[in-house]
Amino acid sequence: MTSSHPEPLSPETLDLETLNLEMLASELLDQHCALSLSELAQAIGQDEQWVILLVQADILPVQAPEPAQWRFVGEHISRARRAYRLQRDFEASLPAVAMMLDMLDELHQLRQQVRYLQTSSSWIEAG
Amino acid sequence: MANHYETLGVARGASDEEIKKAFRKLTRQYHPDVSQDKDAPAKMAGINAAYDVLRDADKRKEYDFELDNPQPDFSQSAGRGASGGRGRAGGFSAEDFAQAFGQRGYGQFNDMGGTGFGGGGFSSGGFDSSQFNFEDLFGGSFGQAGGRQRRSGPQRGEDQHAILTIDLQAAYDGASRQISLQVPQLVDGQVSMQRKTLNVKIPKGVKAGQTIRLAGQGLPGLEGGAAGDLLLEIQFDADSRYQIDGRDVTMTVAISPWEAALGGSITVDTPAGRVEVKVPADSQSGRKLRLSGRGIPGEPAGNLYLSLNVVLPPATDPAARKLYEQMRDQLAFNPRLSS
Repeated sequence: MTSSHPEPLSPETLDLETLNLEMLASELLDQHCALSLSELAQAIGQDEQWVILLVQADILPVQAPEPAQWRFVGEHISRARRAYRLQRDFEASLPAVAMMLDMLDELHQLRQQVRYLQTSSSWIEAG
Repeated sequence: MANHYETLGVARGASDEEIKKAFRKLTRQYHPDVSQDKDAPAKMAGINAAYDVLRDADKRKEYDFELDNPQPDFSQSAGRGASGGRGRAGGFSAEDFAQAFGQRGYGQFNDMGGTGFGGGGFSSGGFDSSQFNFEDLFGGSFGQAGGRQRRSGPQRGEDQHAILTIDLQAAYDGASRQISLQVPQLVDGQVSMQRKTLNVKIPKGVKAGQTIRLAGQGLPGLEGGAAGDLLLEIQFDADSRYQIDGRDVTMTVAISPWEAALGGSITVDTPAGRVEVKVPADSQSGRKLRLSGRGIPGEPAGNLYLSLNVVLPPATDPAARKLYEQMRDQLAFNPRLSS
């Protein structure tokens, strides 16, 4: 069973209980299970008009000119939600948000690269 | 717990301009989309909760009154919710959840030890290295707060969002993960936290940033409406052994000087399993070998890059030392002279 429990469970009973959990049906939101404009809007809790603004600002890529033909995947959900937070918290325009998102993606890649490169770079005092 | 003025680092009598300035400064420092601080989401939630009150003259006045007239059984953390919900008899909505928890789209990244308001969140399954971050339980409701009218009749529950952190191996093989989260439920008109444990299947070939949808596992619907979905964004845990770009994976492979110089087959353990690789003669540290299609599986699968790292035998070993001395004496080799 996957329903919520009426009482908070202690960790011990939880372990026993969860052994019987069914595997939930989960879908990967990729190109085989893409979202329409209205589905994306619902997933991020915004209206469709705001999603259209994101497309116009080049924050979300689309392959077709007509909104009815647009298809979005899971990555677009997190991108749109980040766009929303950045716009709200920094009172940023959408072109500014677009640049922030691109720079944040690059920053993420660079941080990962630095972490990877730093593993072998210890040093000792010389001279 | 700090009061809203302390959270923003301003005095009780601060002007609107000072409050705004403090908010902007803290937002730049702690915004969860920018900051590397582990506590950033929790800090940002507190900063936003404080700013939501202090920016609004009426709310600020009410809050000042509460500060000056503390009531028993009136905890700071619940304060916003209590004042927000006051006088509203029926008409409970997801927004009330949001207000009750002082969230503004970040959620709390706490462990399950927390109860009630402080730790309303998640816990990892405890079986492996996967982590479940309750990113944004109430994000959607704030998005709607300004724009949408509350309709009567059945209303679909909000979708919930969270980040699920997995290791690279899970993306190669697929995996199942158990996640446990505390969700707000309305019982007899009271919001209470309930623990919910879910088994989630992580499909093979998943990439960072992709989303897994668990239909019907979001917030409950209102007045008979369907429940929302739970949307899990996949992230890889920070593993310095790998560099991951989409489905391409780079890892470092240690080789001996003679394997590098003479070339030959070496055996390497990779996330794609044990592979035999041919090292070209005269390889140097930093040379990359590509194994097509051995990155994260998918359509198309990524590539696996092996970055060679030549490791010298320590000269504390007498035999090795002798060989190094021989090389020094017999080879006219100076790597600082360009050839």
